Order: sequence, then structure tokens, then C-alpha cells
Amino acid sequence: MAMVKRISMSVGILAWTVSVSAAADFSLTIGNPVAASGPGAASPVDKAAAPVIKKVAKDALFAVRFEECAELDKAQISGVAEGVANGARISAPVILSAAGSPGVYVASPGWNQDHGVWVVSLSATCGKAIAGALVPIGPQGFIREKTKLLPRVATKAEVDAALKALETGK
Amino acid sequence: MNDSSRKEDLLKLPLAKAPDSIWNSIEAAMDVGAEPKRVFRPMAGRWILMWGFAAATTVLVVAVLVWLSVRLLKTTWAVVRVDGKPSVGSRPMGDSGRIAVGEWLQTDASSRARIAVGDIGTVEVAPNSRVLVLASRPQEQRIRLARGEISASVTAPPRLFFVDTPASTAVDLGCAYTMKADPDGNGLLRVTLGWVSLEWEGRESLVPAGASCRTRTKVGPGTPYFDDAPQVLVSALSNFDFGGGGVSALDAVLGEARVRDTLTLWHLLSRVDPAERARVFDRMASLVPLPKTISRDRALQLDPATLKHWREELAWRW
Repeated sequence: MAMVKRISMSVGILAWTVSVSAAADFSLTIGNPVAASGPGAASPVDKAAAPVIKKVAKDALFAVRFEECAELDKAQISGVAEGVANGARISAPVILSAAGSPGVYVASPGWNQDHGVWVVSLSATCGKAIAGALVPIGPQGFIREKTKLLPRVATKAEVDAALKALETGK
Repeated sequence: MNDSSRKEDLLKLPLAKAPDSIWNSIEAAMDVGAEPKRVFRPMAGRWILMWGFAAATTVLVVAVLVWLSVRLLKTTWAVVRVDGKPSVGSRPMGDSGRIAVGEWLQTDASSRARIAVGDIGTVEVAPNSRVLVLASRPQEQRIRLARGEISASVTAPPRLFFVDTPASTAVDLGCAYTMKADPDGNGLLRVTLGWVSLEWEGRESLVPAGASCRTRTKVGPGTPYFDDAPQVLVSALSNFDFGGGGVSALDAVLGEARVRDTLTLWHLLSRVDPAERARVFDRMASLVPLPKTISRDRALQLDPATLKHWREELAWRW
């Protein structure tokens, strides 16, 4: 009986450890929209999904993928664009569309990109784990080199700093 | 009183009209248990026949017209003149017209035209171009670019729209792109949205948005490269693909490659001599850390599933 208890405890501890470590590794990958819409990623045989992917991809800024998330069906993501246009600080929605593959989304602008500088702040959850990203947007799409991946949602100070860097071109 | 006198007496009786009630009761008595009256009216029957015939003819004519118009719309595409005087077949077109399967659209140095490819997209034909409509079926919309340049924007499912050129076929995988073909048949594909597969006799180049790919007659598609790739890499690649540049050209490509150029290296992996394959693999692994799920051995054996998975992972770094 004591043996059974010990085994149950060990299994429980192991499961908890795996769950905690998986949650700790939970993160986001940001990439070119072609990663979400390519042959294979958007399976050519899935003809029903293809037009949806294309519709999204036309004005897509970037693709985002969940990493180390075991429960993708319960995972969630949201985003907001923070910008400075005509000297005023503005917030605008970001459209995040499922791209066909589980845990992959395409971000499209919900704002007028012609004016100002913009960064997208992403917030994602996988169970109790949280991940975030701060993605600067340039004239040619997202700026990979300045993208920050975070184990939390970006703070206001981080957003302000990213915007300032975009404004000054640094 | 004999019979003749009775007859005379009867003839002397006054004539009187019978009341309607008598006739009604007589008719009611006759109707009981009798079959329904069958009244034959020759004129009414003829009218019914004539109207029936007219209605049937109208339905038939409408059905034929609908069938013809649907067939016509399916096998011809609308064409709009954008500039100059393009021609369809042997006749110059007006502001708009239609082009059928088997017909050529031709533009001169100052004309342009736009074709509506069914309801799946548009093809803009640049000056000095010749385009033939090869097929217009639900599962295949196909044109041939004999020379010149087209810009295609397609919203159809993948592998439904094809552009044949003398050197290869551009297969739409959900995209927008331009395709050029020079008088010798050699071409250049430049993708602006999504992906295009450039194919010729089993050789395939997968070209994503932001990338281009050359193609040559009797060789097929070259190796794709991103448009912002170093010029030295692009030149060396052309030399490798079509100029017999061999190892020295490959050295230049490997030396100049950036992270994004793993698109190019991924294609080269299956195009270089087996002796050079490991060098390409190692260069790729040095540019982008190898995913845990990718086996070096399997990649060097050109295992299709491994290569496909690797390409999908690399795309996140482009």
C-alpha cells in the first residue's frame, strides 16, 4: 500500500514538474507571413482553408506561432497596436486570424499605416503560462531585428521606448 | 270522340311557358346517380393545346439560352483594354471584349490589357506580350505566356491557375506575381504575395513573396533567391544554375548567404552533387540552428518529409 502511495506521489510530482517546465518554456515566434501561408503550412490539399489564408495574407504584417504549448485548443492571443501619429499617442486594434495550422496566427493592421510609427504588443496565454512580444512595424512590414520576445506582457515603459526608437530611427 | 277530333282539340289549347322550377327539378332528378357531364367544346380544346405548346416552346427556348450563356461565360474571359490597342485573335479590341480558349491576346509596345480569369483573379498583360488562353475549366485555368510580361493576382485555391512559359510552368499556390518571358523563352518570376511553384519536368522551385526565380528553356527553373539578396550571391547563383559555374559558383553562394538565404540553400541541397551536399547542410545549420526534429542524416538523404519540415521551420526566419 505504501509502495502504491509512493508511486502515485512520484507520478504526481513528475506531472507537475513537466507542466511547470512546459509552461515556463511557453513563448511566441514571430515570422514572415509566408511562414503561415506556405505550401505545407497552409496545406495545398486543404482547398477550403486556402482562400481564408490568402485573404488574411494580403495585408499581413507578420505571423505568430505558439511554442511549447501543450493545450493549443485552450491557448489565447490578443494584440494591440500602439502608435504615435501627428504627435499624438494612439492605440488601435490588431486583427489576429488563425492561419490554418494550430497555434499559428497572422496579424493584420486595424489602423492606417500611412501615418506615424507603430509597435504591436502581443499577449498570449497557454493554460496559466503567459508570453508576450513587442513587434515594431516598418514600411516593409515587421522589423525582425527590433522584435522583443517576452515572458509577460510588455510594460508601458517598454512600449514607449520602442516607439521612441522608431521615431528616432535607432 | 275519335282520334282526329282529339288532335284538333289539342291544337286549340293555348301555349304557356313552363315555370323555371319545373326544369330545375327535372335537371336535379337527372343528375342524381348520373356520371359527370362531359361537355365537349371543340374551340376550348384547341386553345388549351395552343397555349400548352407555346408555354413548352418558351421554356425550351429560355433553357437553351441559359445553357448557352452559361457555357459562353465559362469558356470565355472578359478582357478590358488598359492602354493602346491590344488585339484578341486577329481583331483589335475595343474598350472591352471577351477571349475564348484557343485565342491569343497580343499587345504592342504601347498597349496593355487586363483579363478577368473567370472569378478567380486577374491577369494584366504588359506591352509587347503574347498570351494564349489554353484552358478554362473548374479545376484548371491555364494560359501560355509566349513572350512579354504578365502580372497575376489570384484568389483561388492552390494549383488551379497555371501560366505556361517556354521554360516552365508557374503554378499558383495562393499569390500575386509577375512572370516575364523573353523572345528566347527564358523567364523571370517575381512573387509579391504568397507562394508560387515554378515547375518543369519534375524540377520544382518554391518561391515565396519577396523572392524571384529565373527560368531557362531546356533547363527549367533555377534556384529562387530573395530580392534583397547580395548581388554577388545572385550572380553566382545564375552562374551555378545556367552557366556551369560548379563548385566555385557554389562557394560564392555559400560565402555570401545570410539567414534569409536559407531559402536558396534549401533548394541547393537537392541540386548540388552529393559530394557537396554536406557543405550546403553545414552552412545552413550555421546560419539557422537546426531544429531538434531535423535529422542530419535524413536531410542529407533528401528525405522528402524531413526537407519539407525543415523548409517550414526555416520560413519562420525569412
